Amino acid sequence: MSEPLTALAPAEMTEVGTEQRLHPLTLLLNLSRQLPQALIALIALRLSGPEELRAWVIVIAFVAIVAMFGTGVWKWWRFSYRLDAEELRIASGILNRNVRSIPYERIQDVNLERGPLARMLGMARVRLETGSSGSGDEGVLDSVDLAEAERLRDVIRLRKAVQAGTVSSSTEDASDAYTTETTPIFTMDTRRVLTAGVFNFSLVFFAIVGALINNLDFLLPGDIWSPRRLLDMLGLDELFEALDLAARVFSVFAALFALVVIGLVGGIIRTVLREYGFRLDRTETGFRRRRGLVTLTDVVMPLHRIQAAVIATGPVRRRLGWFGLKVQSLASDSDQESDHSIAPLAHSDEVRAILGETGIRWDTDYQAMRSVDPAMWWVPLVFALPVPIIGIGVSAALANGWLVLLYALLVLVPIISWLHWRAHRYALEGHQLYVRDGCWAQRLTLLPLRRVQSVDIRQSVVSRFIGLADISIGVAGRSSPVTVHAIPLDDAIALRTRLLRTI
Amino acid sequence: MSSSSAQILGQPDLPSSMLDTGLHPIEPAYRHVIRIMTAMTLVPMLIGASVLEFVLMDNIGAPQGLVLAPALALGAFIFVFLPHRKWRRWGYNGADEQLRVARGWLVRTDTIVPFKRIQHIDVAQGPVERMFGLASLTVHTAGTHNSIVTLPGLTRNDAEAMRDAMRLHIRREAE
Repeated sequence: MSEPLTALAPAEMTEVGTEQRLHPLTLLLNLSRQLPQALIALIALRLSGPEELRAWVIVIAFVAIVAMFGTGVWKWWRFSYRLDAEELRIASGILNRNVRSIPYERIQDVNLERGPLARMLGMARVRLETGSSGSGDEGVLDSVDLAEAERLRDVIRLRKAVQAGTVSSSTEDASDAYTTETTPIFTMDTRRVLTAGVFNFSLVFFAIVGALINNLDFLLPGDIWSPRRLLDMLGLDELFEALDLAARVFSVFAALFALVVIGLVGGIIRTVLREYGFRLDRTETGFRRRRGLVTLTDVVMPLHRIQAAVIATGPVRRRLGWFGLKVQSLASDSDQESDHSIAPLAHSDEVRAILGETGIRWDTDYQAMRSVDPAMWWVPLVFALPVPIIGIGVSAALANGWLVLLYALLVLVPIISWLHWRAHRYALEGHQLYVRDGCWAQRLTLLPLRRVQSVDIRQSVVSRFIGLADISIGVAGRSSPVTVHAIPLDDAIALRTRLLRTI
Repeated sequence: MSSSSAQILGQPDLPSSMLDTGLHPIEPAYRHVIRIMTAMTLVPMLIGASVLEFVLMDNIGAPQGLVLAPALALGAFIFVFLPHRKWRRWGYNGADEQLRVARGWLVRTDTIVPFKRIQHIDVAQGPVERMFGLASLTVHTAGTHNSIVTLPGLTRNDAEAMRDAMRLHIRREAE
């Protein structure tokens, strides 16, 4: 611990303590990120700004770009990092200088991210996860060239191991772990990725179009979305008037069909962009996942940080034997995801093989698990249903008799509620708690008992009256607790005792 | 200190199907803390009610006490009876190397945090708590849900003794 330098290879020893800047091409990358926004602002200014300013737009644009580039260069010049013996130091800031030191032993993951332009230029963004509850921006080196990124990762990993005392002198083994290619434990070929896309039905396209319209609406006439005007514009007005009822119904179905097709295509595109070339390797300490079509990501997950596993499937996927596997780890994957997907679409034997590496078992199925009290589905209905029943009745009486038809929709509520109750099951087997929930998006949570942080038993006024309780288990790195709903109080207390026995 | 902390942490819990068994009550003085804290929130509510009362009396000629009477009744219930009821629901037990905290008047929650899972411990004392010589004990776990469990209404000595007893367990775990 006091002399970690001795454990380093001579080549790396000479580099300890030298200040290094990011790669100069970073400037180009940053500019490519800022320019589009600046251009949109300029176009807006050109089209809708004050009259006397419009002539100056070119000059303003030039000055703005020079200023952006200038501050970019200045920032780059003032940003440096240094690999010290015990910590990584990052100095940054133009006016407010900030020197951050991150001890190697606090660094949990070293992740590499490569966008399309960065890949063309051979660059990578290095993100250090320290496991603090902040935004995940504790240490970002944006960007260095790929060789430097891989060297950084090796050095950080090696020094971390030295600090922890797990590696004494055998430097080669540790630093080679990333560079030597092992056989992956799970991969997805293009066909598998496409299949996964089919199950990822997504209407995200509409969200994108909506966002674009919101941002660019100054270019469009105000009432473009009114159906009357659309029909006018397309010259369909008379045609629509002439259609009979059957044709109108048909056109509604055609529109629904188009929606489904768009959703399928959207899901496939999104999935391919994210999961293309999916590859999961077993490294010395954990998993390493690489994926992405345009933006490549390279994420390392140490096994000892994995808290729980979630097997996700759906009614169709389960019949076809497909499952998705995620693990919940202390470090967050990226800004969008709270857990690491380590197998987006896999057969059960593949899932078991991957789980085998983590020491988490999947030894139970739906039939072997215990169901919870039926009160889970009917009690909320007793309190929730009277409101819409009375509401629909009153509005039908006052406004329009046809509103009575809405009662047909209400029938769905108990059905969905009942399906959720049927899907909710739990089991305590070996040293693991299994909790299953969701009828459409089915999730089976596998929680090793040694990862239990705290246990809650909760009773509302109603559940106290009928002698039931909910039990919630706090797990690190998971935003919501693992919860078993509506079990008899005695069972809850017994379950709590068993959950806490091994700690 | 070891004997006093063992006494504070209580006897091992007997197996039982009742949620309330094996719990120590918190200090009765905590009722006054609840009362004073709720009184502070009641005052703005009563002011608002009297303003509404005068507005209604002036504008639509509402009878006197239409708003104020129910508000006063509710306030009296909250001020006189609620503190005792809330206080009665609090309970704790520190036996078996785990901290058990029960709380909640309408929705009852009973939380157990094993000492080994505690990351750090706070003993805090607000101005009102200080008036009655009370303190609250807060334990933090690594979990995202339930990462903060607070036990109010302990005497300062008890809170500090519990903290020291837990800290011994944390240190033993770390070694």
